[in-house]
Amino acid sequence: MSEGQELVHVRVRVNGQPYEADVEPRTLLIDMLRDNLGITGPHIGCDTGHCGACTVILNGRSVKSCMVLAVQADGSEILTVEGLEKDGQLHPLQEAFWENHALQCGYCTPGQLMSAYFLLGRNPNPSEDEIRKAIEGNLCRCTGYVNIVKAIKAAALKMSSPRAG
Amino acid sequence: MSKASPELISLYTQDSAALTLKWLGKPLKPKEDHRLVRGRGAFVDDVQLPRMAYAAFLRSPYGHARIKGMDISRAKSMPGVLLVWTGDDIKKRMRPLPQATPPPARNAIDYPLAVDKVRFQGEPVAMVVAESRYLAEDAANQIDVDYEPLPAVMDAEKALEPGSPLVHEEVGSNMIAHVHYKWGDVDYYFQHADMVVDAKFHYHRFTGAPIEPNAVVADYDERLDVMTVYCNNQAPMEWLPQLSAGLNMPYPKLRVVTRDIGGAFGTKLINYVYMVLASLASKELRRPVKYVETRTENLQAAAHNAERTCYVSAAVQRDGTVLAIRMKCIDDDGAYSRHEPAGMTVWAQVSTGLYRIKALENDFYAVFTNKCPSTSIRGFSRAPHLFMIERIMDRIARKLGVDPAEIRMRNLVRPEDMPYMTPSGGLYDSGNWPDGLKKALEAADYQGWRRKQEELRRQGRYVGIGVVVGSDSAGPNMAQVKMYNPGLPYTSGTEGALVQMTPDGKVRVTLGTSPQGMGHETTAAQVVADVLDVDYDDIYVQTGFDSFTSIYTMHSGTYGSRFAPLGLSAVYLAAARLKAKLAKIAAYMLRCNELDVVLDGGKAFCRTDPQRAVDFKRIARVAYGNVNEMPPGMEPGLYSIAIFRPPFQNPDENRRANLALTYSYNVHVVVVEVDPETGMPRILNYVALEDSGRIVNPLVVDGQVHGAIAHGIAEALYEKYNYDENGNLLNSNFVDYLVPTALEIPPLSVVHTETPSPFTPTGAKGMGEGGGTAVQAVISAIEDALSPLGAELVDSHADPETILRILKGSSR
Amino acid sequence: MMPQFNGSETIEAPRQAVWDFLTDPQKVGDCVPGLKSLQVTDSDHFTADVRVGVGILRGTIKVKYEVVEKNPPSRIVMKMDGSGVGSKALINSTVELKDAPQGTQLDWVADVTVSGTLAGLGARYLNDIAFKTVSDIFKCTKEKLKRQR
Repeated sequence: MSEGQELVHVRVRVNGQPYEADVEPRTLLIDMLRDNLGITGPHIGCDTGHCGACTVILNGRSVKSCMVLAVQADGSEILTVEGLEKDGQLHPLQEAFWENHALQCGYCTPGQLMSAYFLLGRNPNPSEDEIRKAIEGNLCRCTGYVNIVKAIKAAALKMSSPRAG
Repeated sequence: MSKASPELISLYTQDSAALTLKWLGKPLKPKEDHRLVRGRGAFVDDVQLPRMAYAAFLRSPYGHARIKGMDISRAKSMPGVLLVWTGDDIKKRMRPLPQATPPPARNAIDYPLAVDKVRFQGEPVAMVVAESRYLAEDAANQIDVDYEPLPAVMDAEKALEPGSPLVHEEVGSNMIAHVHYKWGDVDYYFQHADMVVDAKFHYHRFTGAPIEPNAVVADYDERLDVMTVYCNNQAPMEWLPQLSAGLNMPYPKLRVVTRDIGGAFGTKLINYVYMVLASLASKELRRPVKYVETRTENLQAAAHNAERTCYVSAAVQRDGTVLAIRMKCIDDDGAYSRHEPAGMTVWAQVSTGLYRIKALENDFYAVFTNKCPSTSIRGFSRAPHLFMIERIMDRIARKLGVDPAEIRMRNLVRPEDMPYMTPSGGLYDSGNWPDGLKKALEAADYQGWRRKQEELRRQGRYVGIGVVVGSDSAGPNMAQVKMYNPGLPYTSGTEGALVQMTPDGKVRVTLGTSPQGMGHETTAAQVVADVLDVDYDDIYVQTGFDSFTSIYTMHSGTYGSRFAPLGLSAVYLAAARLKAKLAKIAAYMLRCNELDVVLDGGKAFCRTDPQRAVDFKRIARVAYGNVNEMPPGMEPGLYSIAIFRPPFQNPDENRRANLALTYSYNVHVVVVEVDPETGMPRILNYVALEDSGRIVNPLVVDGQVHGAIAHGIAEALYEKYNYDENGNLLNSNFVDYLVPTALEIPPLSVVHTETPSPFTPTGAKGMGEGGGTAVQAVISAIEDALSPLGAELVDSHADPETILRILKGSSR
Repeated sequence: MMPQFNGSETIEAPRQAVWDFLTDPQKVGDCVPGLKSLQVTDSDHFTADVRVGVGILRGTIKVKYEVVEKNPPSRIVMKMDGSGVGSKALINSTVELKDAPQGTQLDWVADVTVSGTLAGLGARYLNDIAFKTVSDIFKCTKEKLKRQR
């Protein structure tokens, strides 16, 4: 622990479940999720807040959890990639990513999915440009983004079709 | 040179009789994707073990300095700190890393932690292991190092000049190796050619920057006396010898495991230094030790490609035929030759590109500098080489006033000469390259774009078109290293696989490869499904490499696009052998002639009486339990192991050899517009034609093509390492090292042709590195856009400042 | 990078006062921008913890200060060796004092060498920051001496 720092007790709800942990004030949210709470879906890919692999939904907004202190998230509702599926059923975005092979190594994928989830929640019928802008903060080195854009378009279509839900 | 001899072709040709073609080529949903979209990937940092401790490194701020002293006392006394090691501690525990180079470069002393001297900025100088990563980093910052800065060697050509500071004094110079290649009557062609075209080109420094950095968890279990190393290394067997020597533990006690790897692109070959250090620490502490690199550490110190400068001369006929090429090349390999200078031989896989060039000379130097060690970044050594060739082709086209597509058409190897033998002994397996070029030009509406270009130029706009052909050689013959060090006992390129039918009739497959997103579980399962005609969903492929369960050779791993030609071939062989055994047992159980047994849809029946059938589940129960129902004398079980060995040879006395098993090819047609105000290039159209032999899974192949193009665009326009003259790396994080986002990579169009390889049983060819074609295509297009100004681009990177300088009229 | 900087201050105080100030490590140390803590070890040395920030890189470096050469009352050569945040910063400075109508003319020359993450991250700003850091020390000297009267 850094000098003179007391641990802080943080309570959060992640994917609908209550969790708590004692963390240093300087502990990043991503580190609390992964190391203290064992939620390893969100990943760490950089140290400057650029790659977006750590993207989660915090109180309804997409955030890079490496840019949030765990103590700032006290009392929050957090949604990670693990929370997208319901009762063993994949979310349409997850299905679309799978069908369109919108991933290869899968490391950036949790972040891409959360950014896409946030986009479709605000804009159910985005254009290609709007999709690219929405995932601008999610770097991918494998796919060249081609299939990711395709998958998000497909998911948007599926989610807005009358048969959905 | 010419079509290969029938004997050689026959030697290489593989049998594919066991394929049913019912499962190959289908876009089946990749197996890996299911867990990955659910956030259930098993990456190294996801490994959590009881009592796990964490490592952090103190790294050199200097590019070149002597270590005069180190004070670790403050760090060591911090609560929660378990261990602080410096180079001297490592020196006591292991021998220096073996060098693959010939003397005197072999004298270079290389330890995972710097000893006496630091030779590149970011080189690890001390390791701290503590109860948490935060604590370990705090402690590392409390270590005091007294450095004496030395002048840094930052230019590879200057490094060879007498009087240059030395990166390794014990070597006596900065030269790692020098090889002079000469094939065919080069002098004759240069004397008799109609003209000679000269140029100097430079391939810049960049890296793969996978989103997952290097990581390892080393876990020494003292109850079983086993060291388990969870890592994300691309070729675990290559460094197992060092681990074994460092720990003084035999291979049967060393378990190296890879599972999901978050991309590598060549950067995760030389990360084994961390695996060795973490393992030594784990053995010492009797606790698991985890190390996860930060992005800054990764960009600064993990792995760069080797910059290459080439002086190129082409002997050309008036009609544009290129007769011969002469080159002098210098590779900047950084501070340690940990994987390099393999690059000074690997280029020879595609020595004459896709062209009928008759003779080639290359005077090749590999050099030490005070930069991050170089390694085989995606496109390794072939991409820079093909860049040189494609650039000189553009120069020739410009000089003769010939269309760049036309100049290539005139020089491409003809389909009737395939399989083709190059002057360096390379054996190109298959492909109709003139047809591919034609198809690519049609798909890209090349003529239409040329007309549009004229129109836009009249409006004062700078639009250019690049047409580039590329070769994606795959499945390397490691004997290439003998070309710079004849004494190295490392040859051929082999891979193993296990295909087992388990007692429940399912199929279990283990591979020797360590995939990083290339869909090995998927394509391996498809090959097995195709051979056995068993449902894809009933085939379970082990994730990644495990030295306790994988069938491996010392070549095993995932690099050099080797899985399709070597790995899948082993899978095919193992599945084919299993198929034969299933057929034999079925014949016995059905009292049917073996030649009449048909395996179809998970069961076997007799052709002469199809009602008599037995499903694989029942055969499996017999083979494992009800053994008396087996053919007499036959071994029980349904295990099938195969190790695929291509008929590779060592280079002959003139360094001629076939250095790769398969040769995919591609053609890229790119249209670029340059903004005259900002110098920013914009890609207006991108069409790529890809032929990687028989396609196993089109989703996987397309994904690789997209990814390779994205890397190439990034390298040409956004990614370039900048070192200053003192050895400071000026862009070592994502603020300044520009990895493109979804806004920078344009939509990409891919068209396919499929010319199966006769040299692999599946017909599949390795692919995915792309040969760097995208880099060449983008640079070519920008040069074309600026050609009204007489611009000539000699670098593989064109950023807005460079372009603006050309536009404003100053020298390039 | 090893840029050379120079500057000049006119100090409203007699030369001896300026000399005494500049040869007092406590006084010089107090003028270092971003100072967090200071330990004077003897008349020619101090160590200090100094806050630095360039772009997104912020942290503390440990600075060792040494007076290398003294030619009273006109010339001092001093050097600062700072390390931390994965970086090294070396400043070598020569100060010349001359009598002037208003008091004392202080001319300084410094060369700054930065290596490591700071050099990488801050490459764009480093020249400006290096100049400002050194000149701030001498501006502070001027201010403190003015107030001293």
